Amino acid sequence: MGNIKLGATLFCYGTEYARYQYDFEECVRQAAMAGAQGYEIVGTQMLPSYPNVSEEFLGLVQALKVKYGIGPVGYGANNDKGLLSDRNLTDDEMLADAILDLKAANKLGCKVMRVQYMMSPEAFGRLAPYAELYDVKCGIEIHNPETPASETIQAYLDVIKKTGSKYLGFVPDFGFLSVAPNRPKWLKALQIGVKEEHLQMAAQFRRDGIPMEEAQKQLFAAGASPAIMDNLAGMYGFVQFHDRKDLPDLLQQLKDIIPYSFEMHCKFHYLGDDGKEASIPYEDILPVVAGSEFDGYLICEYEDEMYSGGTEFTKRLIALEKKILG
Amino acid sequence: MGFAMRMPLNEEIVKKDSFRHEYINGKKNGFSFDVQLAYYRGHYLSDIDELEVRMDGELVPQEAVTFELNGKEMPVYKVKMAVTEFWSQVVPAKIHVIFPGGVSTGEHELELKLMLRIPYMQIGPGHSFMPLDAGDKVTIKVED
Repeated sequence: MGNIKLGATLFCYGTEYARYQYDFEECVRQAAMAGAQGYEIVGTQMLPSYPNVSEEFLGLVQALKVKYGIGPVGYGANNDKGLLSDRNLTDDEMLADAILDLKAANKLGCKVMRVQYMMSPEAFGRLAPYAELYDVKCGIEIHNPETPASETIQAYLDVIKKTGSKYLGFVPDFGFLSVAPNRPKWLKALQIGVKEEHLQMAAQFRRDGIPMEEAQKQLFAAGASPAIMDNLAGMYGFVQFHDRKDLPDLLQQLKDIIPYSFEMHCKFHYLGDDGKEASIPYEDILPVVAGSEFDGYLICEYEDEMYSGGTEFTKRLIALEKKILG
Repeated sequence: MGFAMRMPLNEEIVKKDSFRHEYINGKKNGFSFDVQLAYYRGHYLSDIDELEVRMDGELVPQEAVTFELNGKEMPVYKVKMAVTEFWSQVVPAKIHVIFPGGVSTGEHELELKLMLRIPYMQIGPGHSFMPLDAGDKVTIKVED
């Protein structure tokens, strides 16, 4: 039997935070009110003394845990390979920066750190002894357009198996299980005058595996507005989606990777009044997790394409998780 | 220029109300204003590729512009080398500009060109990262 806990990344409230509508305390309070049992903090977003955790901030985190009953359980790291103006960071440098992130995660009491695949599999492998020292499990984020079976992710799996460390693994983001076009991007396109029929055409090209350049050519030939390009780039990029008939295969990929997963991210972009995510089929995904041995947090993660703030949608997503998981 | 990401989470990137005259030896000879980083997370200053200020379309010489963050004021060329100075997106930076004679009373167009690399979004082989356009152009009402 597994042990699923529900959490939220404070990134859900990124828009409210950037607009000074919420301070750090308000983000924690909202996550608690939405039903989160713990939260993820993205260091570059909310650590006032990034990359370090100051005593003052740690005091605040601990006080808020007493006040609202929830504390940090996951640390979202950024692996800034492009930090220098003239060259990429080397593996040695990426490793050194990731160790600093481990220190921050450890000080905050987080047992899991989400690592981006900017860090090479080789450097990630070298992180294992440090992760063990700090007692923080490091998971490579599996983010759309990658899937567990994709070549990039399999290279990390090879390293994980080779090190044999229980401290290296994955943090799958369910965005990779999208089976319909991204709803907010669709609505935004309609708002700026793109016709629905052209969006339908674009989505079908994507499902049919037509290359983006060819899709673009055919859309323009059919009289589509040039404003469709942002949407098209999304469909072939970070918010791409699969044909629904591929879902069983993708869910199998998820099952295969769960034994290596420390935390999973319930990505969401839009929940309608029916309480369902418009493109990610949670009613199919969550039973797979519930039927596994997964022991950790499902962290809900709102990506605010509409700059509308995440407060309401985060409540809806956690309610949806509870409804499905029972 | 090719595609660059924009993420104006906060509609006001250049804070209009922060505009101030700056004085050199008691005479109006410059100005300053605050700018919030237009992205969901903070960046090391070394992620900044371009920083330029234009007043009414006229480019201010680079050496007359300084960038102040956390009590440190530095010229633009050093901003690009500042690999340990982290700019949180909720802590506005202050841009100081030496502008001989100062800015006259009335409406003016202030433009900040601010281009960054999103350092975890590699978009091609080698040193190629997603550009972030975090600049802004605002009309300000200058009082004496």
